[in-house]
Amino acid sequence: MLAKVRSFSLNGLDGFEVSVEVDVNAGLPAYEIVGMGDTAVKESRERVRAAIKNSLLDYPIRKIVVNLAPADSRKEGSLYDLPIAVGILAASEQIPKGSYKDFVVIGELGLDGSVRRVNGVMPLVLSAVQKGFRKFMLPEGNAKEAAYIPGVEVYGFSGLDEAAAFLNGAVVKDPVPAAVFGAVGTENRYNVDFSEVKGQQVARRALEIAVAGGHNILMIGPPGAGKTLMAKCVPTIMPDMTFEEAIEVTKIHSVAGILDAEKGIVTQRPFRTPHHTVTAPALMGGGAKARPGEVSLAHNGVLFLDEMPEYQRRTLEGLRQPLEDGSVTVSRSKQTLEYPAEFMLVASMNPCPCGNFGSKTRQCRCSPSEIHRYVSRLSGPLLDRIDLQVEVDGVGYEELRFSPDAESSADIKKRVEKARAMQRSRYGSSLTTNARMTNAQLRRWCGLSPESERILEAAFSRLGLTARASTRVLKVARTIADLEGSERILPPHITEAVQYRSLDRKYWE
Amino acid sequence: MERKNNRKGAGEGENAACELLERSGYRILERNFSTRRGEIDIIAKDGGVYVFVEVKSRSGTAFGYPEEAVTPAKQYRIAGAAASWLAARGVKNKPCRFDVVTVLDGRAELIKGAFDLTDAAKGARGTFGTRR
Repeated sequence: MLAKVRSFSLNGLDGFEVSVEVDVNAGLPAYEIVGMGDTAVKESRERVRAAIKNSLLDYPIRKIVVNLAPADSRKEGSLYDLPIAVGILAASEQIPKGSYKDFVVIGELGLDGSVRRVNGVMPLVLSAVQKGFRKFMLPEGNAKEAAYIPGVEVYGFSGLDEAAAFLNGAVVKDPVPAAVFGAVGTENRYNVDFSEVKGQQVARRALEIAVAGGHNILMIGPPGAGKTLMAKCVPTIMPDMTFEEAIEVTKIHSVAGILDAEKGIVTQRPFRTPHHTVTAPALMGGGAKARPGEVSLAHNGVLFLDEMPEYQRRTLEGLRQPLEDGSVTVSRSKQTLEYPAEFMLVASMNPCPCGNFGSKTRQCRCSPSEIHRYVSRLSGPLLDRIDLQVEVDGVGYEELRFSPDAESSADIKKRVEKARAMQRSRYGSSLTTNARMTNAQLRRWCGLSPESERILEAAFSRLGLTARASTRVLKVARTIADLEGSERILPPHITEAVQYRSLDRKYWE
Repeated sequence: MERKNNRKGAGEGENAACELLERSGYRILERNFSTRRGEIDIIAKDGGVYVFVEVKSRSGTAFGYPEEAVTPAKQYRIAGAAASWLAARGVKNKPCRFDVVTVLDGRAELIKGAFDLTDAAKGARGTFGTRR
């Protein structure tokens, strides 16, 4: 007897249909699985057999052949356990044939017959829905993330016996209720707030601009000045994610296996802080199976590189492509995949090895050549792509202890949201920020008065800006104008934008 | 030579096994079938299913339980012999099964469907861990 159960497989973030064909036949008993499965797929035999027996169902002592079609594309992971078990039960007439034909079946089995959660369910279900399927049998632990997708009918199972009873009609089950995005608290869920940041007016302003326009920012200052605290505050002033943005992030996090099963969806903007010992594949994505890296996990959020010169130079240079394109291409011998990587880069560094160069309160012990060597670990091309550079100096005792609470994140966020609203109405898409403007948009929306033009020209020659750097200055100026609600870029906007570029000259000469 | 001695000791266990099988409703077709590829202690029919039975006797557990002695290498020889037997009889596409009967201190116990061809394939010569 033959049974065909529909399942899905992932290639990067795109799913494709997999038909799990199970043939149970007379002859000397055996179990063969074909269809380019990896070790986890091959080992499914032991899990499926034990799970069927321990669910008090009958494991047929027959010749069992399992084919995962299409037979010429690689399948990996344990998600075929459940469809294989369903196929075996159907082919041995323990559940009615065709009872499962409307469903896409995904799940791993434990030896005791439990159905375990698997990674990547959100992108799998999304692609299945795009192909016109809407009924799903999933592990209980994955039901929540799938329930966020509109129009799906998801049934979650915790045991194989339960799944078999459901297909037999012995148990009537309600689909998992559709999850509503935004129903979970919209209050500030972060454990930091800008009101805790004392002083630092310049840096606060620069961070506000950076977030408002989606620009990259570098903070330079001595240790203990508050760079890291401020970086952690960045997500608190970012606009809440839209449902579409949340789905994009959730897809990546689901594939990477870091999704919270309880919540089922990522509601907070990601804040990723890879340690400076991070390897290039871990940052960009890679490994034998071309997994998403930190830049993709930070998609729609913040990638924070603390002590940037401490990172390996080769690793940092890899950031150039995602910074420019908003996506990263991961090539491996077996496959080439593209992952989205539209993150805001927030970086911090000390100005010199001892950390005190340029400080008003402390003495630097480094020689000029040491300082030069240290800062030149950041290459020009990389620095070029960082729109704002700002100095952060230590805060005095008085200010630290006795100044009243500073402006809260919620208030800053309101201004940011207003500036983003202006960008949205201008570009007609919620996903385009000033930093992502194309050249055509730049010409159209960043026209300058003769006076502004002169300021930019002067900066261009005095600071030795590259063409890329000067367009980035324009974009920052556009954001500053947006924060003020100004349709036109005025001279003060340009002047301020240029200021955030002048550190290039101080440190990198 | 050595082989003959082993057979002698196994005879009593096999008698006990046959008794158990018959009590369980099996019909014994043949005993001690042997080919170049391997040997089978008992070939029987359980309803419509051909059953190839391996009998393992022990008079104590000092050398392990009897079922442990049915190694993949042994399974592989049984499976080979089973294939020969089926071919010689012209039996095709009929349900088959491999059972093991353990006899410990004269007490026989039946393990239905103890292994399949996929298990037995691990005992193929030249595969890792099968040469003694």
